[in-house]
Amino acid sequence: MTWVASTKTWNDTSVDNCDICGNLIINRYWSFTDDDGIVMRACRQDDEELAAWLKDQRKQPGYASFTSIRR
Amino acid sequence: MSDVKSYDNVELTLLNQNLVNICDEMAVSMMRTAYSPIFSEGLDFSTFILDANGDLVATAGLNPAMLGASLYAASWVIAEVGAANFNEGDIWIYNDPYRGGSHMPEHMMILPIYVDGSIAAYVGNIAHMAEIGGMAAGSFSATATDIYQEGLRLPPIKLFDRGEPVKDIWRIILANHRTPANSWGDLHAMLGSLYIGERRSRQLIEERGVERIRISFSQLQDFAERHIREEIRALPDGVYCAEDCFDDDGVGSGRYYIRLTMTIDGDRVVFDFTDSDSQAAGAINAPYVVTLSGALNGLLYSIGRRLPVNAGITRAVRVVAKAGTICNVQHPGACVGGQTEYQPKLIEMISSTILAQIGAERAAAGSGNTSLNFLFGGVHPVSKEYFAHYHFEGNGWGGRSATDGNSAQIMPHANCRNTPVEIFETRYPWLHHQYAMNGGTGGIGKYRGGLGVKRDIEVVGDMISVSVLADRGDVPPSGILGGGDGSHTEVLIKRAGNSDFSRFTVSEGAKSATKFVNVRLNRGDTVRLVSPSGGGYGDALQRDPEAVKEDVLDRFITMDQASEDYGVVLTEELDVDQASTEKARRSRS
Repeated sequence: MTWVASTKTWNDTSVDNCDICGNLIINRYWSFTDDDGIVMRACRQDDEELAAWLKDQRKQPGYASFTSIRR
Repeated sequence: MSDVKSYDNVELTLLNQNLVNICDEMAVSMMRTAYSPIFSEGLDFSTFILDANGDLVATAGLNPAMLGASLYAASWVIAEVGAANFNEGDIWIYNDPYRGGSHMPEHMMILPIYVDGSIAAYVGNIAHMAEIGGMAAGSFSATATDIYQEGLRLPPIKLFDRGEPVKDIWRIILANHRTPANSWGDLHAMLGSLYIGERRSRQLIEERGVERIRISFSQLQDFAERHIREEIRALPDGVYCAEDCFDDDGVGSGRYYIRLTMTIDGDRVVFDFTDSDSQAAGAINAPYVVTLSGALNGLLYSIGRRLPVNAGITRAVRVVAKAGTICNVQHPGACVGGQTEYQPKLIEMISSTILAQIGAERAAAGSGNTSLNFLFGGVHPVSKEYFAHYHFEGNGWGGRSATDGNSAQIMPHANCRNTPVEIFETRYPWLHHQYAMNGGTGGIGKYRGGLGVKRDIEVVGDMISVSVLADRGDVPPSGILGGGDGSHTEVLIKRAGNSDFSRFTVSEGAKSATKFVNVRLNRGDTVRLVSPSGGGYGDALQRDPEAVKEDVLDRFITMDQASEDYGVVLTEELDVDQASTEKARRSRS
């Protein structure tokens, strides 16, 4: 886990997004490997903790449980 | 360690107000000097002050929809450009939704304030330009399927370099807008606002000293963080879920769902949009910053207490929105509708659906929540000049725990004003036949939904091209806690010589009833805009009979509705018949 410079040439107008929260990655990203061995690019260092927290939360009953009144 | 005295809470409050006043003055300047009604009448802009790091210190309380861009986008631009690449007298402009813009019509300008050779602060503003090119006059291209159909996209670029205009950039911008004279005037209104902000900020810095100001900016952000964390801590910990949907994306792909799981965890909140639909083919997608804005606005509305709004409030909040979803559009996805149609839905998911799970007393029923964006352009029959205009319509808000919903108001997150009839008719070739509350359509409830409006306008020029980007044409605003749903959006057309109105899908072949572009209208054709009414709150049979009577007198409901929906019997003199009302209500409860 380390900060990695994200350099782009002046004529590259594309953007990169954080693998955890979707935020923009500007100039550098936090690189870490998650529990499944996948290398992630994060906009912030504490997104590593957020990723683990989200993974845990998504296993909890009631998380992402939507009662639709509009279908 | 600095030995400069820090501020106490009273001084911080006064300083905060001082900074907000500067932002307000910037805003008034912009309103008074703009060319386009979207600025001068609509007030569709924001002004702000940033610290030397690019973090928000203060903003005028004008357009909450731009909160996300004010809080995040300017700092992203400064980080991307690099402070070392700024010079005194520079002004940067950009509108790129993939790197912090909310949607392309909204342009942000930033001016660094130098003191003793270093940047002490930035002033900035965001404003909705009425016309920036693209496939539809007014640049709200409801059927766009990529960003290139939505107008001219600007990454962060210099509009002024060391105090001198970068003329090549100006030429490119003006050559790509349909109404360059208006753009010239509106861009200069933004510049004037920046110069006022710079002058006032410089005065403040000189009065108090640059080091003390630097420390106080940081203290103000800490102050805001403390307060928002206190407010979040007062909410019950838990996991709360909500969803809402778009009728369609304008290009015929069916409904699109926004799904939010919100976790209150001590003094922080995590908004997780992972389960939302993939990005749409049409223009209803939201850039990440719009999702940030909606989440923060929803939280601030739910708290209901006025907090200093600066970068400090973002520290207690995390927003997770996967790239490539409707909540975080990726290149080249179209996204002009995200700011006006997606963000209000998101705010309502928090301030209505989720708040009802936390505490009904704070929740509200569904609001109209469409801007009903109505765009038009053509050649004026008198001036012979090309015109284009962007109009948004007021609608009905949802009933709340102690009051009816507001009627005929722009959505709460926009806080803008509509186009006055006088402006419609003096600047553009339209004639009004009707502009009225849409009686009988508010969701029934103990507290009734606010009413939308009905507007009939006839073309009195040779040709006008009209476009619409709206929603809630299929799914009306929801009532809550037993309240009834509100009413739909409708956009109708009556061609000259016809006696009946019909949907644009029927008469013009539009794929969506609320999203179409470039329909050519001729002299004598009439458009009817009907904005949605809000949902009702609580059981209609508990509504105060005197309030029902007032609704009848105001023609917000009919006598029949008073009886059928509310169980209130009125006499011929329009007084409440107490005995008959009690009997009618008992028999139905």
